[in-house]
Amino acid sequence: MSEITLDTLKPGDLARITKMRVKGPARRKLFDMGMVAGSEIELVRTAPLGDPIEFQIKGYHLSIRKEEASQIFVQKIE
Amino acid sequence: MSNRGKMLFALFMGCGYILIGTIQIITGILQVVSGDTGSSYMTAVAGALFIPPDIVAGMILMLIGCVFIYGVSEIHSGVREGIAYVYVGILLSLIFAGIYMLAATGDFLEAHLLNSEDYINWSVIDALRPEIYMGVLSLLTYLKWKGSFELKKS
Amino acid sequence: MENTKIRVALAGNPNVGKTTLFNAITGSRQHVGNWPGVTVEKKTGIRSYRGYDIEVTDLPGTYSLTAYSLDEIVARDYIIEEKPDIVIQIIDASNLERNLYLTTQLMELETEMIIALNMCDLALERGDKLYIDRMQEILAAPIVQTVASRDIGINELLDRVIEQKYNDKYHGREIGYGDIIESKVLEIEKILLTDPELSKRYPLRWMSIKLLEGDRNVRTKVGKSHVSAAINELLASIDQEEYEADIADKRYVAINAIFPQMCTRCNVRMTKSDMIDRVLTNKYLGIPIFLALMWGAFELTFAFATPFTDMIERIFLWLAVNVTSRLEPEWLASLIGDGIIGGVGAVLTFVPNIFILFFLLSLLEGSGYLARAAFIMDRLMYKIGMHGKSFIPLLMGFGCNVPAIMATRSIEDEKDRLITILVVPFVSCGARLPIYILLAGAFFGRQAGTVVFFMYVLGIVVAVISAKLLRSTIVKGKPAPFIMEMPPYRVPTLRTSIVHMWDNGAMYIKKAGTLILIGVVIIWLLASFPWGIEYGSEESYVGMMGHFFAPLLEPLGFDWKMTVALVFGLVAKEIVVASMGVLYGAGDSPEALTASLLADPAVTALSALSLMVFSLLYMPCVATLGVIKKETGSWKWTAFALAYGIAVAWIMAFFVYQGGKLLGY
Repeated sequence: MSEITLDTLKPGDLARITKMRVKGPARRKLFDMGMVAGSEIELVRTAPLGDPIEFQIKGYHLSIRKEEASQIFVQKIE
Repeated sequence: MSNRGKMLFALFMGCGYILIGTIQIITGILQVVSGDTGSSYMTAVAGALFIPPDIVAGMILMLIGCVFIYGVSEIHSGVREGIAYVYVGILLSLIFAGIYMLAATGDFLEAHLLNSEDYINWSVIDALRPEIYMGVLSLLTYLKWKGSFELKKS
Repeated sequence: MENTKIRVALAGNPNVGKTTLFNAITGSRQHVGNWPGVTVEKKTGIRSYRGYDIEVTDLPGTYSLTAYSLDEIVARDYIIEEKPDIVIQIIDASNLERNLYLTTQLMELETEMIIALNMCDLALERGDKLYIDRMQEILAAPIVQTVASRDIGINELLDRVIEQKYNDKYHGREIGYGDIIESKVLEIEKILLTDPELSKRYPLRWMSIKLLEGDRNVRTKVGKSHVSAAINELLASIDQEEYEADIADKRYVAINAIFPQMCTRCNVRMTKSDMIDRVLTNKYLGIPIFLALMWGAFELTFAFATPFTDMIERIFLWLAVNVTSRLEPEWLASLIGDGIIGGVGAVLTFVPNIFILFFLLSLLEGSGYLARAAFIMDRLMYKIGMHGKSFIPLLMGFGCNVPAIMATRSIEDEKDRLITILVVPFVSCGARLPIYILLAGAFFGRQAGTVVFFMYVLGIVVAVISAKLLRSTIVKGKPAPFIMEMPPYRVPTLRTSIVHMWDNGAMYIKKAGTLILIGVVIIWLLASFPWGIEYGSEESYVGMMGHFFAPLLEPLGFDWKMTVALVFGLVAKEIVVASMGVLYGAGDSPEALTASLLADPAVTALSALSLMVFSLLYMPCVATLGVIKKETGSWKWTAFALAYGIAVAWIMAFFVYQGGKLLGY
């Protein structure tokens, strides 16, 4: 299974987080919001202007910018 | 109620809103350009349907119409989530009906409590706008279909 | 006999109905203030219940208790420093997993805890099953099911509070973090134990975990102790980033283990909330719908406020006439009539608008749409160096800058918030419109509408450029990351919205009111003295100021009368028009004022345009300045806002006037 980044998913795609490479204070916040390795995550939709992206994780909806999403690695679940 | 019923309703509401919105925008533009709406066929229709000339309000009506039509096209092409657009269309229709009803309350207070000069000729008929009667239509339909807007996992 | 007091703190994630529960418990007996030293809002309330005075403190809503944001620090410092008798955590029953993350951290603070499982109705309606007994067992804390929006479970919750007060043996549970972390925790605990001061004051296990996580705030707490050297040495030897990730990970692992025992979630493929979102954030319809809703909100604000505004105007007019004609001596009548009643009245006419704006803002927030507004607009705002959350405050600025600046409270990041506060005053508020209408109407005839529209656009452009400028100079850095929950849509509760409206509206009257009163009196003094001159005439101090400053403003095309009008405009911008009426001897009649403006050779179309530009930008009114001071908590930034505004206004008006002259107008 190849590793891809979170921002390359398409709406409806389900994946599992493998690595969180975000640095700085956002790192802490993302952990707190459930972006830890092993979590299942689904891309729900992108904003009308293409950024940010909304995900479903841990049973709720979370949106983050592409910038952060591109530093989170996932494995797609078919 | 089947999705077919919802689709027909949305088609009717969508066309209605777009039509009224178009009339409202055109009469609004006429008013800006020539100072008054004159007496054309268009203004006669607008008058009969209680449509005040107002460009922005007309654009909003068209938008609500588009939401309904978007739903029609989705349901038509077999996307079940299309009823979401009908649901939100009804919601928007209710919100704007509410806004204009509250605005009318403000006018009513102005006319009857404060007896303001600008509102001497104000009557309840002036408060009647397409947003309100279309909103009532939406409300009735919503009450009828209440609860049928949730999609359970099949 | 005096009632026994119980101090209770409400903790919980945002969007779980915390404020609703707080209002349901305390009713109207609330006090809104600030946490000491910071601008985070603090709400407390008292409820008398079965012979007890239950004092409730509403902690800021947080997802976690790290040092990520001021909110989180405030919340946890209250618990560990003030040691409330009981902490109630409000948990959204339909979203247990993420809510429990906070629970695991609250447990580590070793405090008595009660869990209010809120919005049970929604969860059950959806088809979820909740195993309350098992939950109580696992979390070792009493659990009360509540539906705060309908007052269900409130009394039971208060009963538990009283029970728990006498059940004071702490029996919480902690989660284990695995051998590697636990051994380090033990090591740190041992070191901390050697400082009796620390070990008496703080839960040591919690402190050790926080130190491992690299929590800067806890590190400063330890910094003063003699053990800090040993701690630093130990922490230097480990990879803290690794530990930080591991600890968060272990918390969620623990939750994953217990969560399935507490509830089974029903999988609804598409809830109503999802359906609404599908449309409201649709690629093509999302933005138009957003703009339509905002337009509707403004339409409603002004249409519905008009009768109330008129009523206030009439009351003040009546007061002014009656007071002035009856009061002796004349100077007192003038102070009260011209100064206080006129000035305060002018500002109070905005109160209905402000109340309605706050009410609508609260509806937007309670319904969950505010988060979507930020979601939709973030891309655009990010480009100009701001956060998606800044958009709504900026938009509210078109109504009135005061609630707009107060609305920036929803922006967590200090820098993002500061920039928003500093650029809001450039957004053309409702009070500036009369100035444009008068001047554009008098000098631009059929083009008046275009000119007014241009003023609004100019305001936005200046705000955008200022944001970019501030980002690259004084407030350096990128906007904070956008990490936001999109809460499910809900029907907002009327009581919460009304309380919100009332709190903020009252704050406006109180804060702005005192400042305005002072401002009004100062201006009156300047306009009435030296003794014996006509109010606001050329010989008054204001007139002298006008003459004094006139050379400075001459390059902008202003004479002394316009300068004086601008000085008066400091109190509230719509006073500019009224004072021009006085200065040009035209009284209250707009037609007479238009005529005398046109007759005055000193006022040309170009200088009128320049005056409009200057009035748009030159400085926030006294009320706005007051709110800037309150919200930034700093005189420095308030002074900056003032100076920056004047500088920008001068430069822009200079370019308009001199540029226009060069072009031959």
